[in-house]
Amino acid sequence: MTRRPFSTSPGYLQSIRGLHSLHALTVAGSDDSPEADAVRDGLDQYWYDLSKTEQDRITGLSADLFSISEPVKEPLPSNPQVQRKLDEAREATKSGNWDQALTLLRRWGQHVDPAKLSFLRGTVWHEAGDDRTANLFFEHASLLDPVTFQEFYLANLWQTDPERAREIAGDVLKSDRDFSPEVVVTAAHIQLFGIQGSIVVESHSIIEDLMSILKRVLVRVETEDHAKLYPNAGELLRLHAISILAECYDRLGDRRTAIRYLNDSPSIRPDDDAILVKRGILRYGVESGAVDDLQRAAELGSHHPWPYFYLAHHALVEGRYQDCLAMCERGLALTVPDEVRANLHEWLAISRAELNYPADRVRSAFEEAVRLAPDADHIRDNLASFEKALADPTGPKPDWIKLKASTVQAFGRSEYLPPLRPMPVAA
Amino acid sequence: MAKIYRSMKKANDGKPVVDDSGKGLGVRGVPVNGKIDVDLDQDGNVVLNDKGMSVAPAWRLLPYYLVPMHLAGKFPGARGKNLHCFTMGDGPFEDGPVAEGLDLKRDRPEHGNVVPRASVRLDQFQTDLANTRDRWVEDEA
Repeated sequence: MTRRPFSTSPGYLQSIRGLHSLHALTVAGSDDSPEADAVRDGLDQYWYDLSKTEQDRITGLSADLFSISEPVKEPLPSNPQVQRKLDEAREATKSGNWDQALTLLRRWGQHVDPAKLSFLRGTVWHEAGDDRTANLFFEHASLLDPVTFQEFYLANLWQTDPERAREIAGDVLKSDRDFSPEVVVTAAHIQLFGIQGSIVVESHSIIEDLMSILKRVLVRVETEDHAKLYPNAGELLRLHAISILAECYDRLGDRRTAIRYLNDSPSIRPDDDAILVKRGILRYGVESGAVDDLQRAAELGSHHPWPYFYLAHHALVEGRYQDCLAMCERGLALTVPDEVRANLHEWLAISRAELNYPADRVRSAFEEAVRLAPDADHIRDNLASFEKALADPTGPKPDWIKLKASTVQAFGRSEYLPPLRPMPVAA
Repeated sequence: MAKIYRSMKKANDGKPVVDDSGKGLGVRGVPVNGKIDVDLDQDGNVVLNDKGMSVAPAWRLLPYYLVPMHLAGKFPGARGKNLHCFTMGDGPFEDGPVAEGLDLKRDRPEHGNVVPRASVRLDQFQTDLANTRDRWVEDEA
């Protein structure tokens, strides 16, 4: 079966969000209010345009949300039939049969620990592409079992309601010793996301506080027995903490210490795309291993544009124009800030010129670069050099202006922060 | 005449409340929370375009937000508040007369509207609907 996400049609989304609002009003004891009636009337506008499957799904969601607003009940004893049905629900989730998974969980969920049931429901909604609904269940799971689920809730909340996630992260960091190390590291990550792009002077004290907290967490990880809670999570957690700590050092301008943290970490896996990219950026133009990190990330098919951006630059500087061209094309296929995109188009143009592509294909790439970064003199100068050489084929070849490694390194350092990834939860 | 169901507020005598809020026996002739049930022409007459008072062939086919919450045991997910399910008629859920001056117009198997048989003023339509009050009985079985 195709893993097709739930609909994002306006009517469907309004129906789902309307139910969220109605549920919030019910929880607040205001389901009898004019506001609740207005929500119901709003729901009426779309209901009959929904498919039967969508209507059943939303009605089921209403029941599930209702169940998590009631006092928690002890789960009924399990038995082989329950286990089979729960296995079926897991299989249905894996294969993208979300509605079947939700129905099975509804039917057999009374035999499951309530926190875990909410986590499983949230996972189905998350996998089906509705993180806002997923978070209602993750929040419930987190309230019932914070040690296991709070970090997961927080990481997912960051995707749907960053402001609320920052608020919670702030509370966690104020009393970090009261929370699990996983939650603290996730909160630190969110806090760092929150100050991305702000002036270092303004965020200096926040970063220093984060560093103290992260160092405390690393000590706790060494002393607390995490293996009991999450098999294999200890290493992942250490790596997460170290990568955020390195980011903090970098933000404060201490790149060498940042690199040292990443270099010294025995936890870095050779296939950890996000960390390879981070270390590659930090080392680019500073240490020779940078290109190896970025090359490895590119080989892994990184979804970040940075490995391709830096490898394109590296190839350009070394005059390997075919490689440069290939990396530019891979980078341009991803989401990239305009300024970076402009450079990729410029390098593409230079590579095409050097590889004797037709003049209009070289020019179009330069023109796109100029359009994206109209103030970048080097792009205009390179375009002028190209036109001059074209007008006088017997004259000297263009003397391209190629940005220094230190200049291009700054792009990634200011823009890239490893993505926030929750720890795997033992099923 | 078709058996139709509608969730409505209940008066002290056990019959539906007659009102134009969308939660009683009547239609919203002016928008309530942006929702209107009928269109009116320039003279204030109800336009015959199959719009009217919303009904279903069974209470279990009503949208979850209109099914009374006290029925959650039978209908998990019910979110209707202060509503009760009423029914009138005993025939199949098909287009046709349901009362004096009123017809059922089915727009899908699980939904239809009670509409005026001829173009009448809004207040006449409301009166015709109100005149059916005694025929409605609560049925939440």
